[in-house]
Formats: sequence, structure tokens, C-alpha cells
Amino acid sequence: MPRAYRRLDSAFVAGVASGVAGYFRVSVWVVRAILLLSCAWKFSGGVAYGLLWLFLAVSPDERSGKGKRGAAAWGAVGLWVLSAAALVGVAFIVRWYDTSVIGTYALEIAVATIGVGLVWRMRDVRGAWWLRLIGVISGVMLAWVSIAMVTASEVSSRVWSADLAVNAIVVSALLMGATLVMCVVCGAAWVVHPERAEEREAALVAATKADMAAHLHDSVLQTLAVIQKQADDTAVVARLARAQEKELRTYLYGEALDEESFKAAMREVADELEATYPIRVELVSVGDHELTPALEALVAAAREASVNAAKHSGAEQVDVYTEVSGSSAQVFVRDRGKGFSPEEIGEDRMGIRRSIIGRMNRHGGRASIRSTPDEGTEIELTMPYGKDAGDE
Amino acid sequence: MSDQTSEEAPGEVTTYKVVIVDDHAMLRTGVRSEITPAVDVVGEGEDVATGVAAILDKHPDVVLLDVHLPGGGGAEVIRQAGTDTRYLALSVSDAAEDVIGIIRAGARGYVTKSISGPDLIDAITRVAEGDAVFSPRLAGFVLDAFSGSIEVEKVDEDLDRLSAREQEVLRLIARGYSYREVARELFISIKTVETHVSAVLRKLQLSNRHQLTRWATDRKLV
Repeated sequence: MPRAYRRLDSAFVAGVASGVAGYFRVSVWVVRAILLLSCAWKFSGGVAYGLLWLFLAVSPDERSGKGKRGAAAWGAVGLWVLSAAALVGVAFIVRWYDTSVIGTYALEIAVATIGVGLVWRMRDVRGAWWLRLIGVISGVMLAWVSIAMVTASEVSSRVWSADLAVNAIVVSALLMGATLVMCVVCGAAWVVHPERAEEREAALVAATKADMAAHLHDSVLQTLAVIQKQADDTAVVARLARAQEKELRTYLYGEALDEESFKAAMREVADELEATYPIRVELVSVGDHELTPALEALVAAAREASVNAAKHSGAEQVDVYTEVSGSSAQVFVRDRGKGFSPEEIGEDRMGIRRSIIGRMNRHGGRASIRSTPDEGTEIELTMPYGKDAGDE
Repeated sequence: MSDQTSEEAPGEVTTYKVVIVDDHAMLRTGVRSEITPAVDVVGEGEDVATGVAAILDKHPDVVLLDVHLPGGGGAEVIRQAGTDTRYLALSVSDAAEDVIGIIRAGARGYVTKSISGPDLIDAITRVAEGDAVFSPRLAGFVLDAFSGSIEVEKVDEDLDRLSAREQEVLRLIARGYSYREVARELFISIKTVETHVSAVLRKLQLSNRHQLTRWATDRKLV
């Protein structure tokens, strides 16, 4: 079931009713009627509407596409006025039979609600900035007028003290407090901003996807490349395929390396590399730490760097040095191979650009590459790791 | 093989005399063929007893010593044959306790058996001349050992701490840099690099950190 969205194209006020109706597959008029009628009991319909307004995002296709709303703008204003009038009407009914504070000030509450609604609405509207500013200002004015009305009626109905100065102070304090509350409420729509949360989520999904792509590149594609080169050696192909299958299974369904340490993971990388490529891996590790997501990314980047050395450098040995100290971990991957000049890393060198640099950056680390043609390459990876990994 | 050249004339290119002590005959043959033109292999041993006998008989400049030997290991050879001879530990074992153990017993260096022929000749020369030879792995162990994770029983400021420069040198060696590359990287002479490494070796052997070897066991290193 997809989530509910506010639908602006069929909106009277802010599209909450249409969104809810679409979600439950009922007529929008049923929802509107329920909301309006339940306002008769202490404005509960209005409160519900306000909360839904805050936490429902505008539907994604309306967020990206524009135009339609501009054409219907004047119609929308009419619908808005109609809704406001309906709310005021309900307020009159409430005032008539409800004797509580809410009933007494039903009209003022309705006016304040309309004001706040106007301010919130301006966030969705894509008009000129000054039009939206006018909307915000008039919304604030409306809300403030209701506050002033409540205060005036309180002042006229009771006297707190014989001293006029004390009364003046109390009144201004009330006004200031009410104004503050009003500002907070008006600003809420900008602070909560459910669309932004949704975009963050989307970015996270994209990052996970990029990680996944990088992983598949590191493992499956590399193995396939090696298999193609050694296609005539069936024993080697079988071994590679088996190893890759095991690795991929662990990645997709397994508990992976999480319970292990950084050092153990690097050891595993070195063993795997020596099994896959005709290269010696000299691994030296100083210090250790439980694997965190950041450290796992570091291991993956270091693995890719070593694979690059194994595949492209032509060297017989790669030196891998890892050091965990304080709050960051470092890995140096060095070969005495043929080297390259870093400017030559084209877009096609997915390995370096995405699997190493991109991956390190995504997790808050950095990678630097030092390479001299004919002398070799050294890749330095530095990754701060979180202390929040649940140890101690 | 066993013909002993007498003292070389000064100024001549020195051919050092070497004894190989290792329990694998194949490895002894392999090493011998790799280093033979450059150094003079004067004897072999296959366990502690034959190793000690060969050393005392041939008086080599350098002993290539396997860490693991039947009869007590390389450290036992050093204990029995004495530290007048210079030892270079040669091992496939990467257990820190073994490596640190043999260095503390008196070896002047440690290299892995996967070392290339020219590099091994280089290391033998260096040890023969009284310098220390650190493989990347040994440098890593030493950095770990001196990083403060060991309790110090009796604090000797000079012996229980590596200077910043010594740490820098070790870190580069751990990254796979040769002495020459370390020197170039730090803008110092090779001689200075050798001085730093020898200082570290001395600290490793003389430090009051009696737990240095226990450290390795505690950490369950590889």
C-alpha cells in the first residue's frame, strides 16, 4: 500500500481530505463532511486536519510538475474562502451550545485557524515571492486579530487588579505569549517539512544503491573478468565461480563480517586476493577495532585498491598497511608496479573513481593517490570511525 | 662451499660468510642458490644441535635462522651459540610472540621467507655490518608494542618510548618502503635511517617491558 499524500490539484484547503480519501478509497466529500462536522466538537476535525497537513507530504508528481496549479489559482482562492466561511459557520454553532472556553471563543479560534492555515498554505504555493509574502502577512494578521479579540474580551469581562499599571503589564504579557505561540505554530509547516524527510530517505536509498553497485563491480564483475581471461582452465574457473558464489551469498543473505574485527576483515581480503590473483600480499596491521559500517566501507575500498594493484600494476607484491588509532583508521596500499598519472583516471575507471574515492567520501573518509610512472602507486585511505558502534 | 677465505684485504668487496639454519632442506637449497654468488654459504644446520655446531665451527658473519626449529627454536640457538655472531631471523611464522621473542633473544633483524634474493642479500649485508633489518611486519609489531598498550613495570623513559622520528621511520617501513625510499621520503640519509632502526632494535632488546613477549600472546596475533 502506498503512503498517503496531500493532493493539491483537487484541494479546497490544502489537499488533506483528497489525500485521505484517495488513501482509503472513499469519496472526498465523505471525508470533508466528517472533518467539518467533527469540528463541532471542540474543533477536533480542525486539529486532525492541521496535524495531517503537517505530516503528509505533497504528492511527488505534483512536487516535480508545475503549471496546473497556476492556472487554477483563482479558483483555488474561491474554494479557500468557501472553506473559511464553512469553518466560521461551524464556529457560530459551537458558540451557541458549547459553554466551555473553547465554545466561548469559538469564533476567535476559527479566525486564528484560518490565519495559520493561510500562512501554511503559502509554503505549497508557487506564486511570486511578494504574493506569498502578502499571504503570510495577512495570515499572521488574522491570527493576531483573534488574539487581540480574546484579550480584549478578557480585559472587559474581568479586572485582575485595582492598579491600572499591573493590568497593563498582564495584558501585554498575555499578548506577547500568545504572539510567540502563534509564531511557533505558523512556522511549524516550514520546520516539519515532510517532503524534505522524504528526499533524505531517497538520498539514502540512492547511496545504498551506489554501494551495492560498487560492491557488485568489485566482486562479480572482477571475477567474471578473471574467468574470461582463464576460460580454458576449467579448474580455475570452477574455483573462482565457487568462491564468488560463496561471497555473493554472504553479501546478499548473510550476516557478513559484522561480528568480526577490522583486522580480521583485512586479513580475509588479503587471503582472497592471493587466492584470486598471482600476487603476494604483505599485510601489516597495527591496532584493531570492531567493524563499524565506516570501517567496512574502508575495507571494501582497500580491497578495491589492492585488486587494482593486482590487476594493473604488474608488480609481484602489494604492501598493505593498516593502522587504527584514536578515532580514525588508515590503510596504505602500495605496489612497485608501473604506476600511472592520477589525471589519467578517466570516467571509465569505475574502480578508482567510484569504488575507492566515491565510497570513502560517502562514509566521511578520504582517499589520496600517489603514483609515479615506473615507480609504483600508493593509495592512502583515511576513515574516521564512529564510536557509536555499540562497543563499551 | 666450506673453503674458508681468510681475512679479506681492506678495500676489497667483502663476501660475507653465512650459515643457514632451517629444518627444511628444500628451503636451505633454495636460499643457498638465491644468494650464493653474492655471499658465501659456509655451513648448514637442520635443528638446534647441528645449527649450534655449524656456527661454532665456521664462525660465520651472519646466521640465517629459522624461528621454528626442532629442539627449542631459533632463540635457543642464539642462547647456546652466543651473541658474538649476528643473526637474521628468517620465518614464515608471523606470530608476533615468535618474532619479538627471537629479536629479544638477540637477532638483529627479521625477514619473511618470501623475500626476494636481492633483498635477502641486502639484508644479510646490513646485518653483517651491524645494522638492523626490519621487515614491514616486524615494524608493525614494534609500533603496536610501543603504542602504549603494554603496562610498563619499571619506566625507563628513553627505552620505553619511540621518538617521533623513529615512529615515522617504522611506519614507512611497515608500509613497504625500503630504507632508501624511507630516506628519500623523510629527506634524510640512508645512514640516518639505519641509525634510527638500530636504536629501535636496541630499545626492543633492552626495554624493561618484560611483557613485550606476553603482549603478543595476549593479543592472539594471527
